[in-house]
Amino acid sequence: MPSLLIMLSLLAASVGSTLRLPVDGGAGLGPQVAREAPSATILSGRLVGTDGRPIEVSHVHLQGYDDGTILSASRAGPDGSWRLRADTTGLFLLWFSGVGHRGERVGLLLSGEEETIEIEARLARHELLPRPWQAELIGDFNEFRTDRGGVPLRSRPDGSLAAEVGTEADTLALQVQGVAVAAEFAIPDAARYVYDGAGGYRGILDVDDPFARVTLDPDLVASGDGKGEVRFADPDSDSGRFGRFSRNLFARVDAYFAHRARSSAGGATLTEMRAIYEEYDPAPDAAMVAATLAGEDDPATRDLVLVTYMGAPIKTDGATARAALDEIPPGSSAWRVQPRGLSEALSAAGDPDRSREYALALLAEPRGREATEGAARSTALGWLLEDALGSDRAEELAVYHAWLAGEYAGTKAAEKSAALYAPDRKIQPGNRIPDFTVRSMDDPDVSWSRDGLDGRVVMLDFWATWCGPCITEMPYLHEAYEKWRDDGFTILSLSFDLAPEDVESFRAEGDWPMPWLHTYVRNGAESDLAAELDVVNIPRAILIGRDGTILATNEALRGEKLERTLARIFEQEN
Amino acid sequence: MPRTIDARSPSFRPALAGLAFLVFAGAPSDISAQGVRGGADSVRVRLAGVERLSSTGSADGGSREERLEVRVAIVHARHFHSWPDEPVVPPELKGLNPIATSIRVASVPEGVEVEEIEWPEPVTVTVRYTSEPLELLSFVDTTIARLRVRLPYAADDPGAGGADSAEPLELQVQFQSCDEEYCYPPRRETLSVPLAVDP
Repeated sequence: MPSLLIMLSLLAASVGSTLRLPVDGGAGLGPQVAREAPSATILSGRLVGTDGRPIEVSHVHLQGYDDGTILSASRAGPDGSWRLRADTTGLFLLWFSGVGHRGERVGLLLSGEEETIEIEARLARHELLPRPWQAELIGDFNEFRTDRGGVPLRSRPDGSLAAEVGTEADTLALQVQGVAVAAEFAIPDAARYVYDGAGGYRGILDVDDPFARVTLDPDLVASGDGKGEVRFADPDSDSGRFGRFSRNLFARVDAYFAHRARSSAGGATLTEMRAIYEEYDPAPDAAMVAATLAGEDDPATRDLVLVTYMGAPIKTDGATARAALDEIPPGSSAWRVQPRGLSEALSAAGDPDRSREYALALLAEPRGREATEGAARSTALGWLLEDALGSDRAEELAVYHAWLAGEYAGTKAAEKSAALYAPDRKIQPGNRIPDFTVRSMDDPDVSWSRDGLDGRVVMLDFWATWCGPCITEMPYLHEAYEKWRDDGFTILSLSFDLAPEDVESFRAEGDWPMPWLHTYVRNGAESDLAAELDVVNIPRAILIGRDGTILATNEALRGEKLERTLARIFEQEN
Repeated sequence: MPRTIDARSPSFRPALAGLAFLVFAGAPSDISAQGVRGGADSVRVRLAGVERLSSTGSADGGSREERLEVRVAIVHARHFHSWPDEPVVPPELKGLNPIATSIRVASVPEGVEVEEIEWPEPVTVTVRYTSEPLELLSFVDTTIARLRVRLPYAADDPGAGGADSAEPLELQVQFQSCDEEYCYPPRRETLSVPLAVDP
């Protein structure tokens, strides 16, 4: 990809000498740093229930620490023994699960230096709510939503609970909520069970009737109030020490969510949920982290403790965030283990502007062996792309976009990049606007085309009166029109409304007269015009220069940015 | 009090102003769905189940009737919302012509009656079309509409009126969705609900 190499050279020139540059940016872009192949780690142990006996169906899952992706699984044998082989390094979760039991999780640090790790797990049974239960079935019919769309289980004279669920499928996957404390569990006596990705199971029923009948006998649901345990055979090993910390951290996370659930019992608006978050005191969590660090001498483990605390889904402590940024250098591999930890540390420390520095440092380091390496590097590229977008650095934009699209296709960052910036899109600044012809709404004898608008700076504004964000653009459009119309600026509004009368009444009866050019686009987003100008949703804006060249699109023309964009363009003319 | 948006989600964290890069770390890729023509993936409509609510009358086929609940799921992609069945336009959007989410009975088997449609309460969605947050009562995530349907026969009785015809209940669902930045044109989806069943 020679063009990319040129782009990288341009990038090197543009970012200056104080920042390290990415040198192994993509396949064929630079020397790959040779590293020893990681040795496999054998994980093994025993998984039992509260009574110390093996569970009928139980599993151990190795999952991604950040996203929960299941990487491998082992079904425990009749004696509860299990074994997994991990061929990679990094930070992971081990989930221990058994039907009828609460799952338990532990953070697993695989450094490649421990050949074997032995872990024993004992699961507690679900703690049941007091009867009578307000039980509901959730399942594939409502996408396992716990907050809506469940089917109530109703009491029957014999004491059992029952419900009918309509389905067109041959199977139903189900869980029951409202029976166990803070958990959903699989219905007993299912034909089979599948893991739900978070320590629980879904029961699968074979269905031969469009109305599947589900029955639950409360007397057959076993209860327990004990606590689960996860123990490393060598608690002083790297994995053992980190595992112990992770269990403490997860307990804090569970406590945070319990606090949230109590505070929002009965419902809460998003604003109220935000207030609950703001009111949460992170000091006890930070104290737990500080206590762990006080007894931890190994620098790598210290880094991971800080990074995983920062990445935990709780409100984190600003002082600990600043300590993490002070202790862990920008290029440290610890940040790559959990990229979200870096995002949160920068935001909790009130220092988001350093994201570019950290991103460049992360990319400049040789590729690590961590499973999250791709996520970390693509995330860093995403930060750089957004930074470049906001700073109008076109050469860098092209580099980051190509890098994401090539090496990290399919990642969230690559997809976001494609949405924000695509060099092959025809509606792009610098390209000539495709030819079009539209008819005036005010006078059917008047029509406008690309060439007919030449000589003016025209903003095509796709909108509709049913579109909320289009309405909020009105003050900015009116202000810009008044300010620049004498300089040859106008707006051509293209309506996707259900009927042209909607536009007429909006202009006549509302606060916004829109005293510029108007056309009605029959078939709206399904029209040929929309396809030609790449409009799939609204508001969409395209600013065309006097010679028909596209000067700016969308983001640069929204809200307060419209004024700044027009000021820049007209200042350049003068 | 309106319910919260996905209050159980452990991924909920208030976004800090100016931290655009956080989007890359935690948000899905459907921010503006650019390239999804017509927003086809932003909202999907499907049948979420049919439950027998009651069954009355004798089993000999004399005067039996049943009431069913038909659940229609309107499934929004993450970050998308649509107007509820009774939109409330906030003052900031004066002049807006909201397009309500609605279900129209397009075709109904003989003797079958759709008695009522029950919509859930909308939830409050905070959008930032501009720098000022705006709260909209909206449908989000999976919205389940419940239709109470009366059948003059048993749904699983092949000898009764409707069971020997496979004529379904036809529903037409209309909605118009937006995300935080953009709106998609209104769409109509037709849903076919089989009411007559084999024994």
